[in-house]
Amino acid sequence: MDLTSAGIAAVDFSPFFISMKASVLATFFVFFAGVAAARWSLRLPRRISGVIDGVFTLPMVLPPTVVGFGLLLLLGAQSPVGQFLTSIGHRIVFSFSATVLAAGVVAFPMMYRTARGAFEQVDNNLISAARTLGHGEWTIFWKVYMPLAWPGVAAGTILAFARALGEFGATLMLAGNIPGRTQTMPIAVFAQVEAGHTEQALLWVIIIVIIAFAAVFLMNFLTMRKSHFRKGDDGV
Amino acid sequence: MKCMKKAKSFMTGLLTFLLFATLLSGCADVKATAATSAESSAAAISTTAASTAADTAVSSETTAAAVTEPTATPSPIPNEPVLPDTELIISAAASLTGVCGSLTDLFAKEQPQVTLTFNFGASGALQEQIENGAPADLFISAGVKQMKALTDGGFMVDDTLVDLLENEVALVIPAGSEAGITSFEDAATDKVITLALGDPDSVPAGQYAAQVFESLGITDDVSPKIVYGKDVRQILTYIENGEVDAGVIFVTDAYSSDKVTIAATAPAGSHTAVIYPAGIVKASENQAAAQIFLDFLSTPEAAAVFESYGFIMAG
Repeated sequence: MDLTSAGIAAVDFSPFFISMKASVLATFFVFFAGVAAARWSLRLPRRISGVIDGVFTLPMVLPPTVVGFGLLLLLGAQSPVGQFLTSIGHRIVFSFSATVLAAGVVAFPMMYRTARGAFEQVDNNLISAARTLGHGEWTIFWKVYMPLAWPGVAAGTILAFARALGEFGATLMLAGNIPGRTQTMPIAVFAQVEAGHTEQALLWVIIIVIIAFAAVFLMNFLTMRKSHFRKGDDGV
Repeated sequence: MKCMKKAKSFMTGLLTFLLFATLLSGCADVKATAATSAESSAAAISTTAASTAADTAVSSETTAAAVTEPTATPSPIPNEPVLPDTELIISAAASLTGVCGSLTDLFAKEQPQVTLTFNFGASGALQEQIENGAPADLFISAGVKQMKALTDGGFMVDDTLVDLLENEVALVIPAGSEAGITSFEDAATDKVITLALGDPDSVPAGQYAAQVFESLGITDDVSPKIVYGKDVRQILTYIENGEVDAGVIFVTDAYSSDKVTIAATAPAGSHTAVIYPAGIVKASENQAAAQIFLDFLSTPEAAAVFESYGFIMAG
């Protein structure tokens, strides 16, 4: 498609909306899952903690095609889970849910690790003080941990969003290339380059770069803000 | 403190050295490993595919040779200059994946010093690669449009072009499917929830499929169900695994797998004729060897192999 003759108005912007919807949804789920997993893993005994940490970090370290293949094995038409889902009319493979799932799975380790790092920075004396004051664990989590770890958790959320937005391999394998349903911006770039529409591909590239740059800029800005009560500070 | 610093700098130096060493050796080895892995994969394809489909073709070829030529060993093509060791890179449409393995075997008997390396993909993607300078010697396309784009752009040696094969377009379903899909029109009904097609921009099978649905007037009914595959082999895999209810590929692709069945072949006149043009790329440095291979593809022996896979010889 020649952008100069057809104009921007003729471009199908559905990949942008699909990408944004999927990334926002995935980040939403990953925020709660990541924070909960980070908090939970800090309370585990040391031996199990290492294994659990490895399992949670795995999707970040594995090649996205391996993650996609694993999800396909788990949820595809040949698997028990997949066949059950088909029987109740909710095929995951080649659906928009698959886009959210794939993006979420690869973004989860980002949220988990950053949140866990932020929680580890919180001064244990403060937690102990809160406990001696009689606060329950839930109150301690929301009123002590989260406000203190907030810059790190926010940075983790943005990082997870950026990763979810950029996911390609696992999404392509699980959700497929369905224009208007699962064709995200990265998949659109791939399809346009294959078809020789390099100008349209360039449009997506520019949009993605702008969003990614904004995300990184925001993330750096948030982590610069210092919390007075993190470990190592004298409270100055 | 000092020895800590020394140990640190030593380790850094050692790691940097190891990194560079692996990079350099990787660069040197890449070409060799690529060639050997291509050879072994071509041999692997030919042993698996040849043992099933081409056994009949090869045996008929040897019996024919025994009848026409009293010599026991197959003789090379007459009046042929002896070629040095050459590697031919052939960009071929994905639907030729199985048959080219058998052809490699056959060709190796006639010209053993020529190594064939196949680069399979959707014809549109292959056309893009050649336009961007990919080192292909020959191009065999599943569609006339892609070859025409290359000839118009001056990338092909025009007088080597030949229409090699014909094929048929089919609606293919997973083997054992109980949805009762028996015609292309069924794609518009609830029997088909997801339909795998090639991307019409780059996959000829996708273009033919679009034409068929257009001629039946069901394009709008079918559009929401489409998932695009990047080539016919990917669509075949989707159908085999049951991820889609049906897909449109060539009959030859369906024959190559026993996990799928053909629900219907495209009605006559519903699409432009499926023709596989072949030709030599202008930038090729092995045009003599490429011409020999191209001529080989038109011989009766090669035709027998093609037909055993379900292709129809053009012309």
